[in-house]
Amino acid sequence: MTPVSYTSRPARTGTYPLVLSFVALSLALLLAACGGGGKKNSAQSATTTTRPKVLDVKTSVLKIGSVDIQSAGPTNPIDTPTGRAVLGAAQAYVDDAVFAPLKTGRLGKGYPGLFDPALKTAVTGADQPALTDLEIGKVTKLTTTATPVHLSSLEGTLGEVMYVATNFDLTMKATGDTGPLTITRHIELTYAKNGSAWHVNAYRVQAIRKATAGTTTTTATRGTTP
Amino acid sequence: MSNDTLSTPNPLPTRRRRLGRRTKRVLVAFAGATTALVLGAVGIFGAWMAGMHIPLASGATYLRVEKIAPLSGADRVASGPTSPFFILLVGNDSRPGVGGARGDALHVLGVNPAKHQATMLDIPRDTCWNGDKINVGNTKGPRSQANDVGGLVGVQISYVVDVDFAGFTGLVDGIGGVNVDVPTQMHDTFSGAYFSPGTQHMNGLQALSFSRDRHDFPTSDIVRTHNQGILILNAMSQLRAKMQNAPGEFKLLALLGRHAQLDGIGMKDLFNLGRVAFSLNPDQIQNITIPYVGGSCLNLGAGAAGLFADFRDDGIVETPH
Repeated sequence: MTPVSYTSRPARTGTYPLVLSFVALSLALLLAACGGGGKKNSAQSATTTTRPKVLDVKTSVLKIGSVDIQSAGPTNPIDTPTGRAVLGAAQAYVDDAVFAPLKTGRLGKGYPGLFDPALKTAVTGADQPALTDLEIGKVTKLTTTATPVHLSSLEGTLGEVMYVATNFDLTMKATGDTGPLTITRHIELTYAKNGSAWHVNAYRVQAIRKATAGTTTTTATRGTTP
Repeated sequence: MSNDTLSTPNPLPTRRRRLGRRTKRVLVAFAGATTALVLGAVGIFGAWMAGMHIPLASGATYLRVEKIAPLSGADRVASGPTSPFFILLVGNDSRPGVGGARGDALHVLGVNPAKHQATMLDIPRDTCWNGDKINVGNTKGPRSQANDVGGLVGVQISYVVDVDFAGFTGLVDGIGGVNVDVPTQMHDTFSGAYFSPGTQHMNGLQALSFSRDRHDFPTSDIVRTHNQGILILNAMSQLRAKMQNAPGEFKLLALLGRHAQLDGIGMKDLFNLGRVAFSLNPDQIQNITIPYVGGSCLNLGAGAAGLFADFRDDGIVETPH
């Protein structure tokens, strides 16, 4: 085995510089071809560079904190699939409504579908400024922290889980167009099962935004009854 | 003999021994079961004393909530009421030794969910309706009382909340008492109401005596009816303060679910109604006693027709009364 490896090495080392040179030359030619070619190509290149890029930061991952159960009948614990589903829905909310606008300048695609259909008009209209950070838009730096999620449930007369509410705070420090920005959010989302999915059925949210220009507070409270 | 004894043992002592062993086993089992029962009862009582929810111990029925009329189709689609609706609050006089359950406290709450406003009309129990006092309607049940009061005011009652003396005291104690703005001095031996003007914290029995006092006032039941309205709005205000977050809401709804007899209405309806209640500011709810003219059976006074018309169109009274 040793002779084989010994004899093969000089041969490989001899061809490597040639291969590398060929690849480098090909890349250089390719780049030259893309970079040249007159005005039309220059314009295409400019368009590409101004497109907003996704801010590559790791945002907060929600974790369950304390749990509180209120029941009109026998008291049952929140089962693991329900806890996971509701926590996942709350995570989807912060990803789509809060983090996505700050990272990309746009709401996450799943945002309206997180809510009960009866709330759609409100969450995409009057309450959107409080529920989302779309008006802040894309920021250049972002750090986020989240408190553990307090889960509380209301169970019916048979001990069945009817509603699960999530309560947590979210703090974001970022650099926006006008300078440093701190956003503190108090978020309460009440979920009800709609088919196989858990949808936000009622909410109480408050967003406090501290910027160099001043502090603004927006709140929204709503249930499925307007 | 000894062999005989060994080969043919006397059956009587053996049977006695068997019987003795069985009795002993039964006694041991009985003692064990009794100990377990006593320990279990002590444990449940201890848990109940510590505030844990024990269905058997905590499930007394305080009130009855009945859906009388369906809401409009649009309301049902939106998972809750969006157009004006009316709730009748009844305090009946049923108690040990007094049957019949006459509607001695009658209050119609008009709710306008879109405007986040409400108005409460206080109906004196002696108001005449169909040749009799209106409170008699409740002896035939809350639905009958709702029909009578709805007919008087000209509105369709959607829900009736009916509570008797024991239920009322239990309910008030269940929410930790109420702070009531006592309007005047009260010193009534009949009801047991002894209060000074100003805000007073009342337990169930005190709140009941405040609601029953009529002997302190020249217009008797008229002032009493208005005072009941004050207590209801004060209680609503305090309940609203406890509903500032979901855990607070859930606690109250669970309490209601445990202690209410629900007819034609479920916990989801209660949740939706609770959200509507949360959107109302009780400090802005008008508490209006309907106009009347005297007599043992009170007739509607001047201005009643205008008041009812103002009330029935959108659940709230805009003109000052």
